[in-house]
Amino acid sequence: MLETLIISNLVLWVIVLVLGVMVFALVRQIGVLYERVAPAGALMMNQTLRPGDDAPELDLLTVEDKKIHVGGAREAARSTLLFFLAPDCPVCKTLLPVLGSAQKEENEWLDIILASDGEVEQHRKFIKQHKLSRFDYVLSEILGRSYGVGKLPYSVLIDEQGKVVTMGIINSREHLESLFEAKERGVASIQDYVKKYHSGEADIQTQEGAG
Amino acid sequence: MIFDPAVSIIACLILSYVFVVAGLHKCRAPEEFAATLNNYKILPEGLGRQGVYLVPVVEIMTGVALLIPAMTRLAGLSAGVLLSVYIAAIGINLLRGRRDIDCGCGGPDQKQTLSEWMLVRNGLLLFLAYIAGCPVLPRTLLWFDWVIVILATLMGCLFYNIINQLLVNKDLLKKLKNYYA
Repeated sequence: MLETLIISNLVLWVIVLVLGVMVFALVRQIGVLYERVAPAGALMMNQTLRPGDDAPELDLLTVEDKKIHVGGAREAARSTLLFFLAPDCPVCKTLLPVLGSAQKEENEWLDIILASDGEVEQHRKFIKQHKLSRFDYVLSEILGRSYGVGKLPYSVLIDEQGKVVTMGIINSREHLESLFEAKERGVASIQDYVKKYHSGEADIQTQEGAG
Repeated sequence: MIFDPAVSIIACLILSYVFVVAGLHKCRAPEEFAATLNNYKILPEGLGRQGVYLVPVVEIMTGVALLIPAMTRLAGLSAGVLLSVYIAAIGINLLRGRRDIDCGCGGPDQKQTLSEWMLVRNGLLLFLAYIAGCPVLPRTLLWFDWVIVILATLMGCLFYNIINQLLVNKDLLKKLKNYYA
């Protein structure tokens, strides 16, 4: 009898422990969910720049030693998309095909520049591996700093007059498209959009659809 | 009060885990912790800088001492003092209405803003410190006691982590609500 009780007690302990681990895992997942479910447009977190500011002008060399100029008015009425990435950032990699199709679809008005910093060799390999040679690819710490890039992947859209249209953290195709949408509609960010058009939680769904 | 030795050991082990982990977090990001300490606005600013290393060192020492049978009384007292100071610091800032500062409980990737729940959590830990500081019944532990000690300690550490994660989640949810407010 006593032995049965001991065994049953031990079994219960193990079950409680397993349940405890599960609760912890669930709580963690809820935390991650809260983080990810946040706005469906590119989230703007930037202390350096504001939409409507003049984009910082910089002369840069691409990894293929081509001279390019970032910021400032452009002759051909073309806009520029700066996309900040890093070879060791997994989300960035998932977005490369999206960038490819964006370059094709928005070719009429948009040039895409990929930006990063660090070892040239590492980036050359990255470019080769993912066939990125059709993009201008620059390595410049100053570029990232002057555009206030904190988290990757980050993107800044600059219009034909050299003004910042919008910017934000890009985690999905929807986020990237939200930047183009922002230019079309004249809304600077998802926060702006939510403030302007929606109030209350019931609207989260529509906002996600529009994102 | 006198406690059963198994209960006392469980309390010591859980507290030891809490203090060692907290101390290591602070050592790993001393700059962040310095900022946190300043944010509490309790110590004068010059003193705040010296606390940056003092607090984690005392925490780790307390955590280790809790594991040494001959020192548990003293370590329990030290843990109690530390926890009381934290409760006071958090309470004062809650009264001041400064809820948006980081509590400095977890590491830099586990930011928790102040709330009453923290007082509850620290109150529970304080109770553990009280148990650790109390004398124990003279009783030899059998193998079954040790099994219970290990399992209960694991459970306690798990609970501590769950409470912390819930506190982090609370902040994330608040942030989420702000987006749509």
